[in-house]
Amino acid sequence: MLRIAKLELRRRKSKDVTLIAVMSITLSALIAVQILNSGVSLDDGIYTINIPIDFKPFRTSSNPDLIVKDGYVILRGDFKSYSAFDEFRKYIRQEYNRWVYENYGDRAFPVLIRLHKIPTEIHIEGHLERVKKGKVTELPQTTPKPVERVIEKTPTLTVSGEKKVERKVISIESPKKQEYLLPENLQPPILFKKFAYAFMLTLPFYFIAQVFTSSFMEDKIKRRFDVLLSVVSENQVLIGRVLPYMTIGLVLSTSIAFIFGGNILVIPLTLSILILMLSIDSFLVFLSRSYKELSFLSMVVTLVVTSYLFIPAVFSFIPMSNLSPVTILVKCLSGEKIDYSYILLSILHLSIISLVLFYLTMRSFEFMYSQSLIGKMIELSTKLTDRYYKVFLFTFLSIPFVLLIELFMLSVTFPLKNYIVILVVLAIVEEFFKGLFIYSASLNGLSPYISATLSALGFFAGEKIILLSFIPTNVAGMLVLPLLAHVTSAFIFALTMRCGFELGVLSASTFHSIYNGLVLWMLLR
Amino acid sequence: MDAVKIAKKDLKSLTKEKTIVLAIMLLISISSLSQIIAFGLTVLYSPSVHTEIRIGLVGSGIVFERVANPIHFKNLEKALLSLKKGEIDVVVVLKENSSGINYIDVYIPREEFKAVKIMPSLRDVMMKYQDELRKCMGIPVLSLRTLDSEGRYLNIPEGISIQFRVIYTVLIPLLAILTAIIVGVYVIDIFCEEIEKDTIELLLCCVNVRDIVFGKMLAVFIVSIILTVVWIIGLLLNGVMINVSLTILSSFIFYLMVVSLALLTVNFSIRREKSQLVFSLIIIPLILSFLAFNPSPLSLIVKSSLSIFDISVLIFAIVDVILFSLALKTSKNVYNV
Repeated sequence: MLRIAKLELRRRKSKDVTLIAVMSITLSALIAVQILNSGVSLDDGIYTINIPIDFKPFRTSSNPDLIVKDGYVILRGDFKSYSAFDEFRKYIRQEYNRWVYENYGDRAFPVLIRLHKIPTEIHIEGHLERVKKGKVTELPQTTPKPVERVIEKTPTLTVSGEKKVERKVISIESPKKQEYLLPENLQPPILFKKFAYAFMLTLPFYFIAQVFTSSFMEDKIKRRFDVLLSVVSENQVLIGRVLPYMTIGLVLSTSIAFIFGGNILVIPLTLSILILMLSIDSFLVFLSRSYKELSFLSMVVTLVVTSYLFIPAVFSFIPMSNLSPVTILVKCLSGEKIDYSYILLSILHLSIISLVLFYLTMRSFEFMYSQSLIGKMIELSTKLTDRYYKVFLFTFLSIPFVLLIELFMLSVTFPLKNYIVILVVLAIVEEFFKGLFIYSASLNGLSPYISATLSALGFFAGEKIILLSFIPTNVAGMLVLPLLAHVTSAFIFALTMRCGFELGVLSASTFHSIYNGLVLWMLLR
Repeated sequence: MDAVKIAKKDLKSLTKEKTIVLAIMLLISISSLSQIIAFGLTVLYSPSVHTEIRIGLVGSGIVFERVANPIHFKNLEKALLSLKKGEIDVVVVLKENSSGINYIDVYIPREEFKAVKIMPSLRDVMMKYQDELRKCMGIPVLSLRTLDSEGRYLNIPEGISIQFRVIYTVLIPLLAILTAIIVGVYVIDIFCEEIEKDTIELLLCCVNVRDIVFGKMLAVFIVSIILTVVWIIGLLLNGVMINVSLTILSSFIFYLMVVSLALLTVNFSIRREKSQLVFSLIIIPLILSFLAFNPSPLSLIVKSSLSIFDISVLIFAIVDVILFSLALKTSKNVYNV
């Protein structure tokens, strides 16, 4: 195994590529620093106004989005002009704050707010204890000096053609740094800046995975696996190939953790993302027939996984977002305390997905050269479902993949704004996976009806465990009807699959779609 | 004519593997997901979409009471218990001084999903309060009055620009970047395929290098047209207004740059694995620099989508011609050998 890993590392050695890599990383780092300091420049000059203002997104035009005239702002009336006004308002507020400070001093900011975040669901008593002891109720006894002034002086600016305002940059701070806020600085607790950091931190892991994919596919195309498998086992080949990339990932994670104040939580979080990417890519190599197919498949899957990892971090206030390690990584970087059960759940569920994919890859070596995608999946699942309990187990374990594919299909069908299409597509995805294990079990000589019941139960159990972990709801009411629907559609598949796998999926999906439609109709009624 | 035949061959192979369908689904998916995020962010940041919040007041404040209409509490303990029960959303501890600075302690729920709901409205109330205090102190207050083109008063909600920015400065560049990467990878694939299968030598017996390069570029051009039309239709279906012709023009300037670099990479590396790695290493700092500096091909796409014509289009067109000529020349050197 170690020899295979060593061989993999030796293949990666190339002087000119190393030089390009060093240059690329250095250049990217320098530009990233520039972006962090000055922001992206894509919005320069996107709005138009009739008077010159010193604000990059605006430029003057004869047919502007905004006209400043006689103390009014006249808008053209479209979405762009509304957006331009929203930005213009922010700019004018900044200018006003400068002007008012210069003319009225500290008095110009009569409201300074100190925020306290109180748990309102649990353990409020602890805080009340502190309140009683006088630790948080007291108003400040001494008057802090809230405003530090004047850093830079820039040319005179005319805002409305009447009043001249001298621009100066002011920073508002209290003696205890950032303790007090101006009202305009009250924002929802969305961690955008940290989100950008998290994106930059995980980006290198995507590249590690890409290099691995390319190398692994080359092994397949050049039939190197055939040679290796004659002397070592599938497990050893896969682990040997993955090991160098995991080691590089570990070194990288440790460095990141060290740079960000020795927070060791960063290591398992980032590593779980890398392992997930490696497992997905190794499985994709076996599914793909050519480099071209692998490139496109890999891009789609990477997008779905990135959405799954990053979108929850944008909406981190929703409890379910903690399922993503990126949400937790973002919180870690901002110094927030995180419940260990969330960390465990997040890493654990990604690890299970990765282990399942690695396992599937190991079992796929012998038919990796088959041509059809569905054919490959049937071959693989046939190898897996030789016992009844395995039908239940693998349908159960397929749920995270079903959810990921459903997320992707939802986003593809979203522009159609047609509920019927969305319901049908979701039904097809679910019935495909349920049917796959029933079909392959029957190829192994197992009863299709027992397999149908087990597949329905496995799917139902997996689906409800994930959803009910996050959505507190009346459990009993949610269980009976979906279970019956899953069992019925599985039986329809078992009855019709004799005419072919595709027809089985189609008939089961038709029933499932009608069921989905009826549920939606009842909810909307 | 030979070039057209070569383009046909490559396109036939692409449709046979149905990989183009995946690329189309990918672009539609990104377009939709970004729309969902943009909508979510607008909801988060805009007070106009939130209901009024219930404020509990501990202390005194004549002006504050006028602005916020709070519920009074005798002490902080009772106010915090009320906050816990969900009877109020915020507790404000204030001893109002209408002629000086007011240091206000505000208690909000720690749970983010509650705080998110409260913050935009709290900000709105506190800004109104600040304005009222300024008026009391004789400080002029900023008032922006907006009219539409027919002279009617308008009330523009706060945060409306977030959705606009996400669509035009994040989503559209992202779709263009992704299309460019797809066609770049496609260029590497179709050239390396010929090299690895030794079919390039067979082709060179019948046609010259120039025809091979132009034929393959024609196939890439057709693929990029399909993908670009798909994401533009996706945007239009989602209600995003863009200047279609200018967007296509500026996108193609960007694609040609990336495609030429991909071809240069193949000519430099020959092997597929190495080409893909080198292409990735070049494209990352390049795209980052397009984000950081203006003008760039990406800022050109943003402006074009908003019907803004930028003269930098000519500069980038010249850069494209130079890069493509260089790629063609190196191809001749490599394959003729």
